[in-house]
This record gives sequence, C-alpha cells and structure tokens, in this order.
Amino acid sequence: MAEPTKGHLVFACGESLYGVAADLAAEVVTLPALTRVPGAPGHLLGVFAHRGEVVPVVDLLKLLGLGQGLEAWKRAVLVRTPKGALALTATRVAGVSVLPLGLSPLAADGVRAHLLGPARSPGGEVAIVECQGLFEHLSRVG
Amino acid sequence: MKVAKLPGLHRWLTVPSTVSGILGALLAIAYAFFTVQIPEGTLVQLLLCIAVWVALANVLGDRQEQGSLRTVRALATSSVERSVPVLQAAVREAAALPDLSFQVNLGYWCAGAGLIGLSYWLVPGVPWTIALRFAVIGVGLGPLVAMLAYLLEIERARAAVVVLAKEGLSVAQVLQALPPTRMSLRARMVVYGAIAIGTPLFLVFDMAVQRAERTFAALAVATSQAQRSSVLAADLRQALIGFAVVGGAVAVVVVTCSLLSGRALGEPMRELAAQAQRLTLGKIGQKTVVPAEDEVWAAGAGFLALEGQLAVVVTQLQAAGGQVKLATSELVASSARHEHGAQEQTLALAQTSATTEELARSAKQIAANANQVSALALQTVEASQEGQHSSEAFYRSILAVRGGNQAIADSVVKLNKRVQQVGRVVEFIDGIADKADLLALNAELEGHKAGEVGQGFSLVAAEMRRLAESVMESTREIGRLIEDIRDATNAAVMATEAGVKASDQGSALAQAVSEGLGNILKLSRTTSEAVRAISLATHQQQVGTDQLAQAMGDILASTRAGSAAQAEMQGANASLKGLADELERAVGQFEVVS
Amino acid sequence: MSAVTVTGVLLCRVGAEQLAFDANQVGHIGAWEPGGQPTAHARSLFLMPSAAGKQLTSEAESLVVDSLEVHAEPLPRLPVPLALASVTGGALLGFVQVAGVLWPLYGLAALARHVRQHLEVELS
Repeated sequence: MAEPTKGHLVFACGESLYGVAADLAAEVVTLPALTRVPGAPGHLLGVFAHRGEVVPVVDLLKLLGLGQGLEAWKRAVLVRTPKGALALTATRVAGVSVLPLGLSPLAADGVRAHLLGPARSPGGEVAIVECQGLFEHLSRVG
Repeated sequence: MKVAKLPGLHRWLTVPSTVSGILGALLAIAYAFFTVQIPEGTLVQLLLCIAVWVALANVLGDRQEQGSLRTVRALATSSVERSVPVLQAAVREAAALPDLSFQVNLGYWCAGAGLIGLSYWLVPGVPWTIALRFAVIGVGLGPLVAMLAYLLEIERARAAVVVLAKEGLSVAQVLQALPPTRMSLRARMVVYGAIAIGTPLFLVFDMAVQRAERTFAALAVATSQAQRSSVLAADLRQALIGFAVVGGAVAVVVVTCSLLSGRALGEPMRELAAQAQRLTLGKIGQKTVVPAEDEVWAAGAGFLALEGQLAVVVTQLQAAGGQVKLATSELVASSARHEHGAQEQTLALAQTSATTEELARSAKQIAANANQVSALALQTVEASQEGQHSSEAFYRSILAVRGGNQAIADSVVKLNKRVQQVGRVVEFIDGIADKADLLALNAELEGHKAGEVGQGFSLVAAEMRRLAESVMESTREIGRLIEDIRDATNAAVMATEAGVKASDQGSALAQAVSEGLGNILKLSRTTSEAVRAISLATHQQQVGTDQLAQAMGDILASTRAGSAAQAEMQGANASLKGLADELERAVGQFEVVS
Repeated sequence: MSAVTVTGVLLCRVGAEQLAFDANQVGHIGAWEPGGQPTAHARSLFLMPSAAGKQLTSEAESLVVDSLEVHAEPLPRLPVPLALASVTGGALLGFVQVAGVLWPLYGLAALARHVRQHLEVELS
C-alpha cells in the first residue's frame, strides 16, 4: 500500500531545504522594504503590507539558530494559517514537490518540534514546516 | 826797534821828533863851537838862550804834534770806544804825523834859531854878526833835523798804523782811511836829495868862509912871517880838526838820513816782495797792511786789491773745483748706480722678454684652443639644433599618441556607457524573468492546489519557470560578461587615462626637453658667439702679445745698447773725476785765509 | 477583519526608524534639549543615545522623538499580527500605511510607560 503523500512547496533557506504544505503556502512573494517593529524578537525581521494585511517576516536561519541570515532577503514564502499569515525567508524556491506525510518532528520541543522529516525529494532531504504549530510557537515567543 | 803798543802810543810816536831836535841842537852847538868866536863872558848866556829856546821849541812842537794825535791819545788812554771810524781817524792821524813832524821841526828850528840869535844879540857885548851866525846855523841845520825827525817818525807812524789796524780795522778799512791818492815820491826824493846835499855844502861853505875870515884876520894882525906861519899852521890845524869833526858829524847825519830814507823806501818794498812771494806759494788772503807813503802805499794798496781779487777768484775757483769734484763724484757714483740699475734693468728686461715670449707662446696656444672651442661650440649648436628638431618631432608624436589615447579613452568611456545601458537592459530583462519566474512559481502552486484540473497548468507554469530561470541564467551570464566588460573597460579606461597621463607627462617632458634644448641651443649660440669673440680677442691678443714680445726684444736690445753706453759713460765719468781731482789739487794749493 | 480608521496621526522619525501615534492621544508637543527635564526617549527603543527633539506628552507620560509630522487624512488601522501582539507591553495598537510605507501605531502613554519602566532602566 502506498504511503500517503502531499504536494509541498519546497524552498531553500541557507544550506537546507524546507517544505511547506502547498495548501498553506499562499504565495511566493518578492520582499519589499520592511518596517521594523521595536521590541520584537530578532528572528522577526519586520512587517510588510500585503493585500491589506500586515505580514510579519520570519528569518528561519535566525529562528533555527543556524546563522545571522541575510541583510536583505529577496524572496519569501507567504504562509497562511487560520490565525494569521507569516512570511518565511527563502534563498531560492525549488517548486512544488510531492512529499510523504506522517513524518516525525526533528525535536521533542522548541522550534524544531514544528519541523517534520526529513523527507526525501529530488533536490535532497527536506524538513517540512508544520505551519500551524510554528505560528503558535511564534505567538508565544513574541 | 821797540815794538809798538797801543797804550802810550801817542807819546811813543812823538819821541823821534824830540830826539832829532836834541840831536840837531847838539850838532848845532858842536858846529858853532868850531865856527863861531863866542865873545868872552857870554857863553853862559848863550847856552841859557839855547837851552831855553830849544826846550820851548820842543815843548811847543810836541804839543802841536800831540794836538794832531787827539784820537790816538784818546784810544791809547782808552777814553774812547774802538769803533771803525775812530780807528780810521787814528790811522789817519798816525799816518799824517811824519809830515807834520817835518813841518813842525823845520818851522820851530828856523823860528828857534832866529829867536836864539835875537835873544843872544840882546846880551851885552855880543855883536849882531855873532848873533846872526847862530840864527844862520840854526836855519841851515833845520831841514836836516826836520828830515831826520821825519825819517825816524815815519817808521813809528807805520808801526802805529799796524797797531791801530790790529785793533779792529780790515785792510779795506785801512785803505779807506788812507786812500792812495798822494803821488809825491819824486818831490820827496828831490827834497831828500836837496837836504842831504845842500846842508853839508852849506856847512862846509860856511865853515870855510868863517875859517878864511878868521885866518885872514889873524894874518892881518900878524906882523911877522913866523907869526903868519904859526897862524897859518894853527889855522890849518884848527881847520883840519873842525872839518874833521863837523864833516864827520855831518857825514854821520847824512849817512843816517840816507840809511833811514833808504829803509823808509826799501822796507815796504821788501815787505811787498815778501807778500808777492807768499802769493806765489799759494797763501792768499793773509792780507797785511804794508804801511808806506805815496806811490809805495799806492802800490801796496794795489797789491792788496789784487790779492783780494785773487782771493775771491781763488775761493770761487776752489768752491767750483769742490763742486766739480763733488758733482763728478756723484756723477761717477750715480753712473755706477745707474749702471748697476741698468744691469738689473737689463736682467729684468731679459726675464720680462722671456716671459713675454712665453706669454706669446701661451697666447698662441690659447688662440688654437679657442679655435677648437669655437669649432666645438659650433658642433654643439648643430647638435643642439638636431636635438631640438628631434625633441620637437618626439613632442609632436607624443601629442599624436596622446590624441590616440584620448580617442581610445573616449571610445572606451562610450563603450562603458553602452555596456552600462546593456546592463540596465539585462537587469530589466532579469527583473522581468524574475517576475515571470515568480508568476510561474505561484501559477504552479495554484495549479497544484487545483488538483487534477490544474495539473496541465502546473506543467506549463513549471515550463515557464524553467524558461524564466534559463533567461535569468542567461542574464546572469550576460551580467557576468558585462562585469567582465566593465572590468576590462575600467582597466582600459584606467590604462588609457594612464596613457593620457603618461603622454601628458611625456609631452610635458618632451616640451621641457625641447625647451631645454632650445635653451641649450640659445646658450650654445651665445657660447659660440662668446667663443668666437674670445677667439677673435685671443687672436688680437696673440697679435698684441707678438708685438709686445717684439717690442720687449727691441727694448731689451736698446737697453743692452744703453747699458754699453752707460759703461762708456762711466768710463768718461771716471776720467772726468780724475780731472776734477786734479783741478781740486791745483786749486787746493792756494790757501785762502779769510 | 474589522476596518478601523484613524484620523490624525503623528508620523515620528527616530533616527532612521519610524513610529506613529494617534494625534488624539497627544496632549502637548514641546521641544526637548539634552540636560532638560528627565523623560522617556524613543531612541532608547532602538538602543540609540538620547538627542534633542520633540517632547510628546499624554496623560502623565511623555516621550521624546527626533522629529514629527502630522497626517490629518483618515487612515485604516491595520491589526497587529499575532506574533507581535505582546511586544512593547501591548503598546502597539496597529499599523497605518502612508504612501506605501507601513508605520507602527502606538499608544503614546503606554509606550512612554514601557520605555520608562523597562528600557530607561536598562539604559541607565
């Protein structure tokens, strides 16, 4: 019996590939100039207005403690959850790939508890971002 | 003879007058004793008369003589200043004394004899004939006594003149006091002769007459032959004695007078002869007064004038001789010095001549060098001209290079601009591709969300993405190329700028080199002209130096000739000095005593 | 999404950053010089040293900004994303968009208080 799969938007951020469920990935956008919000945590780079909505931009590298990130991100993947929208910075967007479901989180707690995988893809191993959980995590931290 | 002295000179002068008067009186008495029959008892009166009158005559005569010697007496008693006029007056008085004595003696003798006769006649018992006899005897002997007095006086007068002259009169002043004007030697000799002959004749005649009268008277008285014979014999005896005594006395007097007169004439002549002898011995100027009278005095005065003149001439001659000798000595000395100097001059001239020849050689060398330098300067000018032409050509080519570089730089800048434009176009394309990529991505995402329906859409979108990505790849490639081109053009721009800068520097350098060469050319032209001028001047100098050397040679030759002439002149001077010595020796034989 | 409009906004500059306040909440605007009366500085929000500027006063609180301008047109107030709801002690009221640029809209008194209570202490 074949494992259940789902289409994911796969993008690169730094060295690693991340995947977002295609139905949650609203759009791939080019990032405009961001408005900084004083008092916000470091991984929240700022906000930008998109279609009448204020979208916070999350630097995945900073969030995951993988580096200082870029000064000016060009691309971001706009993720829409029931409680709000998020933009995840992307170095490069690979496209839509079908990835298996039912993967385990990379860690028991912390931010990595909202990363599932790794899942195999033609571009390499992909960590699937569990968006709702990440959103809630960010709301807690913020 | 007693040497005369000034004190008592006036007394000393008149002594002979007195002596001759007394001698005359004694002679007269002796004569009278033999020739006059003095009456008995009158002898004492007679002698008294004689004594009184002789004494009176002597006193009066002496007084007259002393009166004529007032100045001499004043000098002798030092009661008057010994000035020249006083001494001259005294000399005149002394010289006039002998003549005065003659006159005084003659006058007083004659007057005295007359007065003796007169006073004796007054004695009782004295016949006038007897008295007259005494007067006649007195008058007859007067001239002889006067002459004796004169002759004795004359020596003293001469001595007195000498004494007075010694008191402070020059010969000229003596001559001035006694001008030799009286020329009466002949008259004086006649008077001498007349007296010397006349007096004895008179005496002998008178004595003979008296004897004869007495004899005749005795004979007339004598009565017998025997008486007559004894009278005659006695008379003869008496006559013989009388003649012998009187004749002897007269002879003595006459001879004395003759001796004295001869001496009076001969003494000054002898003295003059001695002076002349002295002159011949060369002793000039010891002018001594030779006192004399009349022509002899004039001769002495002339002699003195002659000696004075001679002394002047000899003194002048001696002075001239001394000067001649001095001048000759100086001439010889200076001639020697001059000769020495001339030798030195000749030596110096010889050295100078040698130096001048050396100078001429050097000048020739300098002229040759200057010619070479002139040629070199001309070469330098030509080389500088060539260099300037080359540097100008270089400058022009550098300018051309600069122009080329500038053109390249301009082209490169244009190219760069184009490349930048291309870059912008490529960026624009890249942006469009990126947007297309994004659109395709979102379309793929949307297609995927649509499920089965959107699968074909997703495929197209994926294809579009690949297309967009290949476009972006190409634009990246183009971007890299553009970067390369930009780098290359930047390098080219930099290179061309450097080239322009270098060519600017090169052109500046070339200009500087050209200017420098121009300056060098100018300088070398100036140098060339200067060198030409120097060469010309050196040539002139050489000519001048040659002439100088020639002139120096001529001068040296003439100096040598002059030196020879100098030597000859020195010889002549030496002989001249010999002559001067001889002259001085000859003149030196005269001793002029001033 | 509730469409709330804000009329009268003070657009303030703090260094290169930007803040917006509801003009209705601001009672008084004065000048402030260094060495003046001690007050809260918006510069401390961005970890910058205080400088001369305008002093905005509301209720008992006041805050100093570098410069400001007033936007009088009514603007829609965009809601705060959930991730930013608790920053600055809840002083962030929302966002306004002026000429395409997004400005964070704060409550003046709350922000001044937050600065005074949390950041001034840290800075001093």
